[in-house]
Amino acid sequence: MTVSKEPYAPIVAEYFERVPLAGPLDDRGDDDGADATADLFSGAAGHREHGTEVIFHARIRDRRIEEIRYQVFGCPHTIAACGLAAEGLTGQPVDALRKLTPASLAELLVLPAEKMGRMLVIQDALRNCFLAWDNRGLG
Amino acid sequence: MTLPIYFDYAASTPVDRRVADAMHDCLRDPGGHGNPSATIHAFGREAGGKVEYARAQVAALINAPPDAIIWTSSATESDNLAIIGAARFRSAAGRHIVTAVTEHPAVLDSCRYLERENFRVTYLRPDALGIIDPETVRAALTPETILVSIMHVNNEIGVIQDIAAIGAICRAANVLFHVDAAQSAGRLPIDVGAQAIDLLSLSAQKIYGPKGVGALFLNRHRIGRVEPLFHGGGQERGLRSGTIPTHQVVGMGKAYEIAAELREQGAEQVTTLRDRLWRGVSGIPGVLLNGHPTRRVCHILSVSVTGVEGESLHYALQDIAVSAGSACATASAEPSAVLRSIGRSDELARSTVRFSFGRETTAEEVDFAVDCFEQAVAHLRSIAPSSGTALA
Repeated sequence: MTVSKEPYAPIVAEYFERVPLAGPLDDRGDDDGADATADLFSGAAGHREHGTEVIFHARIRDRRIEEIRYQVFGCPHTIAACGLAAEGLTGQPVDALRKLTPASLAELLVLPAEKMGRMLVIQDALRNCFLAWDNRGLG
Repeated sequence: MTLPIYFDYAASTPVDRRVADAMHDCLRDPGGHGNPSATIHAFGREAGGKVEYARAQVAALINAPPDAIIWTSSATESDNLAIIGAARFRSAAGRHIVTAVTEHPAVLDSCRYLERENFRVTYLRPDALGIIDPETVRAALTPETILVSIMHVNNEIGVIQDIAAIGAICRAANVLFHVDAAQSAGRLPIDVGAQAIDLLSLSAQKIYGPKGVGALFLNRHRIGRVEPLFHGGGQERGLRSGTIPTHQVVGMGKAYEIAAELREQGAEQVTTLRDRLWRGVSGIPGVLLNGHPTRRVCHILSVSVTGVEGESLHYALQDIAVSAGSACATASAEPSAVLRSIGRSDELARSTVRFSFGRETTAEEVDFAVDCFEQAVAHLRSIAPSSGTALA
């Protein structure tokens, strides 16, 4: 059967299926017995009732995003965007959490204009993750 | 098994090979190209004969006289002609119409159009199982009511309305009764006399006929005519001008003849498959059946599922061709009014899947669909936040 037009770009299909780095971040600590959650920070945005809900969980040490995971309730573009963001942010300075722009995700995903609001939800979740870290006074 | 597997028979069915053959023969017939209205010569009479034969085939399925059948291009056109045409024709008797919020857009939009012509429309709501209580129809009637329009089978959730009871109420009140039977013709018994139906919309493409042709039953004893929407050559007794597409109506006639032969056997087979799929998916936590559990047509199963986003659910089901069961085909579209009217939330309305089954559906395909559905739901739930997740 020939399908005339795929509704999503190949990168969306790939990330939707693979969902890299999806899931909660485990709260394992260091071997020295330090507080396992001391360097874990989370930021959420959106509402399930509105169709999009995103939570990012990041392990931040020495101002660097050591690990990042996400949980997402949303459309295929939103799911793919979370995966792309998480991959891109791993290993980056903590400031990257607040610098990621919806436009950069939209371009990668060939996002329909009417879905730009969903990228803003992702941006808000990442910024809230940064604020959780910043409010802890670790900066 | 070739993927994707078709589970969208309520949207459209494949054309039965016998129907295609009949249409093909008609197109290839050296004399079949005549205009069926040009009865002055042999070519026209030959085409006209085919058209009348098809008219009788369609009429037989609903126990109507052949001359009560008007050819149209679709059930949508039939709905428009029935509602707008009857309302305009009867406007001197009153300007009130009763319908339901669960009707097909072809009915609802026709009613909204009439509201712009100063008709008043009452939109009834179903109960939580999707049923319109005939007593709510009775209660909605006023001395100004000229028309009631209630569909036989809901296209989204498959519930069957008590058409005979509503018809009796309308007949007793001398109000015209229109029924959209696009999903029920060929699947449920229809007797326009016994069910007191005055206007009935029919489709070909829903029962293995071609697209582009439909029909309207018009009870000439109850309503002599309707105000035509098309003007021109005066075909179909002046009710629907435009050259009759002989091969299309021949296809529709053949499809209805086959449907009459296969209805009972087909319904039993399809019911078995529908119930097999429901047994498979109902074991998944958070899967809800939409509509009445027993008063439902054989070929439609609508389920909503909690904890997954609708667009992603449908994308994850790429190997099975299902319908959203709602109008939210795009990011900005509203959730289904039918699902909202039976109490589903916006979130649940969006995460609804309509499976619909046909003659070609197999048990193996149903089992595959159950597996696909289960995997899709599990995949999406595995990455979703728990409901009400609290953040540290």
